[in-house]
Amino acid sequence: MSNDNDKKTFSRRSFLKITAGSMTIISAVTTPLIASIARGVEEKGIGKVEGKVHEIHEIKDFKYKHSYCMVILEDRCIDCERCMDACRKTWDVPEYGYRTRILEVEKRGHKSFMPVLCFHCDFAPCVVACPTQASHKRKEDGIVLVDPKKCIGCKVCMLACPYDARYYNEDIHAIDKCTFCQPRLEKGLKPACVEACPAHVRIFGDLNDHDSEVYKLLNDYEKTVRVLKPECHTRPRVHYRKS
Amino acid sequence: MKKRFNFSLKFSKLELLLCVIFALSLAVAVAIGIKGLFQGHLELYGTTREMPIALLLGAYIFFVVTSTGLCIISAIGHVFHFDAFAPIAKRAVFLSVVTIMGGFVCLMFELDSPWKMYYFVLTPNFKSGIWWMACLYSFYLAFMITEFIALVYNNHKLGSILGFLGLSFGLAAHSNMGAVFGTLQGRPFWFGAYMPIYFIVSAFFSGTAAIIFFTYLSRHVKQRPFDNRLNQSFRNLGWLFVFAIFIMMFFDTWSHIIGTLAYAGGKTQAIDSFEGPLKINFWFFEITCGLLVPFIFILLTRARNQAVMFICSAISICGIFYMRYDLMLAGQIVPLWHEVGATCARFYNQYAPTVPEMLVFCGGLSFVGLVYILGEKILDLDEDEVH
Repeated sequence: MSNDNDKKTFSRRSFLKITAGSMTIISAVTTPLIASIARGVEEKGIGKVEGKVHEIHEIKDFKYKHSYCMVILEDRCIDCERCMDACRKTWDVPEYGYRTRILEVEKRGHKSFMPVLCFHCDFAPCVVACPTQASHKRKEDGIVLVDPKKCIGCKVCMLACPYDARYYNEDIHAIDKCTFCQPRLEKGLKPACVEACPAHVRIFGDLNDHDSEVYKLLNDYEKTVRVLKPECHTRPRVHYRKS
Repeated sequence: MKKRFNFSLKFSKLELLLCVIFALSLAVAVAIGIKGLFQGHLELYGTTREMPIALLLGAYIFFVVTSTGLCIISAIGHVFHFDAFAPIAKRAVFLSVVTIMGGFVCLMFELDSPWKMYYFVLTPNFKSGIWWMACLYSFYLAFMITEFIALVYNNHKLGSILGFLGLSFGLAAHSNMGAVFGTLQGRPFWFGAYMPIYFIVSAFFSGTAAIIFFTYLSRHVKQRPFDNRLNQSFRNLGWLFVFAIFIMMFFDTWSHIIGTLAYAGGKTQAIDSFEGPLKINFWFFEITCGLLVPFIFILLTRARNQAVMFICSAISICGIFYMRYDLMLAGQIVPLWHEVGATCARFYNQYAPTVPEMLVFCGGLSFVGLVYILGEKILDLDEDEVH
């Protein structure tokens, strides 16, 4: 019995030791931090603008050799789905999947059509989430690609993407998505969907080329340009505006 | 000196029957998993582009949360030397190893191309939450297995050190798993710092329910009565369980009040409202079975009635499974294009588990059941009186 009591005393004591030790470490780490904050408050005064002011980190700017992007003139789309067909034929997209689609949007009784695809975000959440670097962003042109041989099919990129741009392709045993037709671009061709669109809805080009149509459309300050889901802070490379 | 291993296996008829059923169920799950590798999951499972993860990932999380919880409970007795919890520590360590492996059974058959897993090592992405989760869980499993071996050989000092390491890696891995969901900015239901904290609290709750369930079960299977020490330990577990339920209620209440008041893309509507598609899962299984019934009955019996505690823990474990399952569904049930006003996104995404999915989940449960029975038979999972 006494042995038990000894054990209890010992266990409580050791628990107290552990707690005291942890508290000491936490205090040691946090005290200088609190002191420096207090010093800052003392020096600057709360709400005063004098004293040393810390600059907010500038948002990283991406320098691509080719800054590919797409502008979608949303009031032009007639939902003919030729873009979808062209994409399907060019890349053998299976029946159960799609790389691009057209959404029917209804707001205040007004119906319109909105083409969507992979937005090749600068801060691509799918690239961050992928555990094996199968999803990656090309440094030379910002295109987000999937390397099928590395994809384990965990589908976390599908969850991470706010734009529903990905699906699992059973034929290649990997995630599949729009590539901005990167192999076609290398041959000097435009993406298949851009070429197939009869209404000139999808405008594709290199933002580094100041004579390109996309550059002019995005720098025309008379029209509002928007991106979808800006609250996700992904900096998409597909923009929407009225023609 | 008690025997460490007992290989002269004598099964009762019920145990033998259970072992055969569990082994068959596991074999069926493996067969489905292998079929899935060749055929693909498109026709085999009910997951879709809109809801790419569902029952099997929910099951994986159910097992892993329970494993981490059991590790926390074992550490109270073994690592922090609270003697009141020492008698259940060895069993808790054993079960934490078994349950996480049950989770891996479900995960392995949930992944579409698991044979490419070696790219975790060849091209790791250090920014990925899943990569860190896998890495930390590997260490966790290694430490828990070695801790258990140390305990079997009565090396409690080494067991404590390994237990502390297992606990540290377990907590890190588990909160990381919460972060996998918490960092998904496009999914308002999951996004935020709440998830990693919720996962840890939830693990503590699940672990307590599981150890009550298995400790009672082992005593009745072995027909060994509770000795005084175990009796006291079991009562303490009862109070710990009530405390864990109370914390869960506190977390759930605030999470749902804030989710309902601050509209965030149908964040809680799917679950919370009385019209949402998950209303029965939430109000009946999660809240009533998972929390209210065990809370009320254990309080009423003042944690003295062991049979009531056992039944409450069993009911609560069912509720806990629905918590994990609903957590997966609720994050994906609101279509991604809903806020844009797309007509295709007017209705909630739909998912119903297929029979093969359910059989794989049963395979995971059977793995836990089978290894647990064999563990109870071969190893002595009861703590030695003096150490």
